[in-house]
Amino acid sequence: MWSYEKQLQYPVRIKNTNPRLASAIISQYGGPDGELGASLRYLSQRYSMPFDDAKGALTDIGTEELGHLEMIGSIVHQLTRDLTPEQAKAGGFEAYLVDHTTGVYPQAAAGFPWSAGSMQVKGDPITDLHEDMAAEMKARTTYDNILRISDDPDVNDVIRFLRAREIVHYQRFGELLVRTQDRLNEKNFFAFNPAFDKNKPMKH
Amino acid sequence: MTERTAVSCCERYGRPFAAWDLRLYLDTHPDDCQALAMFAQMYAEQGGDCYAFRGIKMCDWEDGIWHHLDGPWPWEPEANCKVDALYSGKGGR
Repeated sequence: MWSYEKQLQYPVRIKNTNPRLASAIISQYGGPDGELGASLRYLSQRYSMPFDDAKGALTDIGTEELGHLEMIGSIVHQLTRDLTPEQAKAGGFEAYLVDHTTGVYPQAAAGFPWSAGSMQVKGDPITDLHEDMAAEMKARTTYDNILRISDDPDVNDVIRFLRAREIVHYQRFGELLVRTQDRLNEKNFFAFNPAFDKNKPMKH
Repeated sequence: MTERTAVSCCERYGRPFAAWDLRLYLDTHPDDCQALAMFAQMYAEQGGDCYAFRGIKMCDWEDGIWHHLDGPWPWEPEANCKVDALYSGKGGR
């Protein structure tokens, strides 16, 4: 189970209202490569993982992603908490305002709601770890793109922290992939699925 | 001034983050003695308080062995007691 810590992983203090930037950054809340999908992906993949290191790392990284979800929600909230209707109109925020006022809703920058269709739990450790490495790189690219369009230093400081965490997680998943392959038959990693074909010897 | 604001921002966020990141490293390097020694030092710096950083158990190791990854995991039946042990099942609700 989980317990809540009443503190962000990294502080978020944003001075200026900016609805246009908020509607881009919300993609990391509920977009296809965002933190909600990341946490659900890892926390759901744990169940079928046959190895303790993968169970532990997916638990820890999935938990950290929930903390990142909270940080992104905090950025969106602080960018819009003093929003006026005039600023919403000037900042292209009318559609979001009509649907959600200044609530934080899990959607992509393009407006579509979060979908489990943007993630996978394949039930095969090699396949799932590849998905996880790709997910970290997709999130890293999204943060790179946010840095391309944002000129708010308060926001960029937090986004750079989150971007760096994607790279660290990518590294950990890569190590897990190697550790997983080391437990399999080196002549054919794909001879069987160690999460399902349980009666096969791991190595020959 | 509350006790929280008296602590520097670096202290408040930096220490738990360092412990968190090092623990994640140990997940894929459980045999790295140097890293485990560093983790043990962080634990000692917190006065041996296992839950000094609430979300990070700091004492999940013993005699140089990293136990954070040990099973059974909570979703596995071996980790769960029988409900019969809690409720006798005699009468009542």
